[in-house]
Amino acid sequence: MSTQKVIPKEESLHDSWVELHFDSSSEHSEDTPALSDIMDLEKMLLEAQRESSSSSRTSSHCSSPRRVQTPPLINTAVFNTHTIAQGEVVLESKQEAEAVARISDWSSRPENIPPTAFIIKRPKRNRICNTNTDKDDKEIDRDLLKLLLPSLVLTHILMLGLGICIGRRLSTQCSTI
Amino acid sequence: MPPFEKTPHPKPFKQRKSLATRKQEVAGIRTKFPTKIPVIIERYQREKFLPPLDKTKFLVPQELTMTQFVTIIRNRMTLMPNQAFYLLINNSGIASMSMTMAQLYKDHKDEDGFLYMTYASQEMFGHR
Repeated sequence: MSTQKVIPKEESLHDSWVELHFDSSSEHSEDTPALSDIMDLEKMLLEAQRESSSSSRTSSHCSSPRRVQTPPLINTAVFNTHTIAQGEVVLESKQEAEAVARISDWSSRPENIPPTAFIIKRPKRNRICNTNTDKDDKEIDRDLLKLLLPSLVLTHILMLGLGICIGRRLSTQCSTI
Repeated sequence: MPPFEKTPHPKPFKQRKSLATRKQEVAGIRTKFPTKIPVIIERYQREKFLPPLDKTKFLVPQELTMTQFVTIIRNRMTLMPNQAFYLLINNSGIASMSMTMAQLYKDHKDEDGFLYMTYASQEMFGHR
């Protein structure tokens, strides 16, 4: 019985918390916990989906809007009711009051988690792309300079040579006349 | 919108739960995520313009700075650039924007282990 009580508390803990993930590339040691956090998030989302699907069935029985607005917590209330049935009358009233308080206090909405994650991730990717394009532009400029400078020098030398040859021929022709 | 209409004045987090339960919650979260800091963000009582947040409990990476945290919260609330937004710590002071969450948690954490913050737009400056 005690183990059954502990499990919904953990679920409620996970459901109510909002985790903020910040990609810190400076430290590699923190990458692995980030991956584990992502795995935990996926598990939490799957559990939330299951809870929401089951809560839709129970919501037809419950008419109060608060319970409908907090779908994952209805399952915990159901678990509490099951445990309450086996307990005493006094304990039943206390546990029911606690369950109602939990339902009203917790305002977790797991459906909101994925869009916030997407919103946070997209601008970072855009920034990364922008930085990459800037770096590519700089590299292209350097390559152009490396190609242009020697070609300019060569053309200048060739033109000087041609000019000198033409001058010598003209001078010889004038002397013959 | 419906839940806020029906409960216009929800109780603060401290009044909803007892000290023992809050301590247990902090201990559990800190053991599972040792590099994350538990933060409670609530709306200022006399706030008129900023929308309410859908959640009050946040797990924040400890290396995150206040500026980054403020931008994340603004994104969550989808605020316009011209809307003012201030985060008050323990309902009294504004922390330096360059401080990390770990430093703030070390200096300003509550007896139960949470870091309490309040968000407001403007009018909190002259009320004390």
